[in-house]
Amino acid sequence: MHTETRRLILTWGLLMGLTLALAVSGDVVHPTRLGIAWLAVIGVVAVVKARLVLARYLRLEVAPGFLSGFTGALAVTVAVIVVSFAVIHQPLMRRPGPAAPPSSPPPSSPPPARRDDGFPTRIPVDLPPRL
Amino acid sequence: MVTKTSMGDRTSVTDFSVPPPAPHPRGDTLPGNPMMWLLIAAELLVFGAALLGYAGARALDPAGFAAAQDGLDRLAGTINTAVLLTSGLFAALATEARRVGERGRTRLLLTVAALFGVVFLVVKGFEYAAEIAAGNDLSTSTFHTLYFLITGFHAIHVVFGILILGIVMIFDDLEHVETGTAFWHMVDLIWVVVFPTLYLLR
Repeated sequence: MHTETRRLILTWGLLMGLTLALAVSGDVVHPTRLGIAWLAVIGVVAVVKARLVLARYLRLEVAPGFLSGFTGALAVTVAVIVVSFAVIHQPLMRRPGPAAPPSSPPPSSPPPARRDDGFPTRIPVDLPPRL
Repeated sequence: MVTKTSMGDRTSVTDFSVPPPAPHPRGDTLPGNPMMWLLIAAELLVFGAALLGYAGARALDPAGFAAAQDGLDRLAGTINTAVLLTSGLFAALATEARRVGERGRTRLLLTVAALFGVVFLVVKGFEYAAEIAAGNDLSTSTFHTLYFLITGFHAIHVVFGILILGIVMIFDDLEHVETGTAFWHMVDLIWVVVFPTLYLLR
């Protein structure tokens, strides 16, 4: 097998391994929130994959200056995104639950006042209009 | 080059007509067509701006984005990443095959790369169908607007990439093949950043 062919297949193997690592660190099968460390891992793995594509698939390894420039620009973009996710973070575990009831009752039916024993003091009854 | 050597009654013929691939000169010279690199830089800027905009919009409504993002099929996104990177391998192998003059093998490898691109689009189509069936479209939420715009714009690039691979199968000069596959790798590269941002970060 040609040396370059072997190198490309090795690169593909690395990219597949990193994709698997990304799937594990990103917990693709559970809707859980991720910790800040996992966000950083995802960012780093994404940048490493991008550098591999740039260097080997796009052959930028023959132009180290351009490789550093493209990688640096992508790394800054990913870093800004990851930091924004880390700073404005959701609770770590957010389980899906039943739908929450409406926060306020409709204005047309105010809740009846209750006595100490829990029974309503005024029971709404539909009466005929007084003549 | 054909060399004939006579040694008594024996004649040996050695064919050196296919030269070994010349190594690329190292230095700060971009490989391939410079215009393609200009396009790659411009596309990266556009997608970079879109992803930064996504991060900004998410900062304004983290809970809404988290709830909407949980509806995405992250496994399908992972599979599509593997599909596109495998497609990129075949495109890179096609360039190498063309560099050593194997035109038939080049066309075969480009065809395989394009077929993987079609697989990507099919998986993406199933994802879109599931989202639409769940009642989500461009106007459902800010997250869905950005999700459909960014992934849709990328999918259009995949379609164009498949067309370009088809064109360079016909006009298969080395420079054309290099330029066409460079566009395809750019599509790879963009997805490598789009996938973790839209699907995984949360």
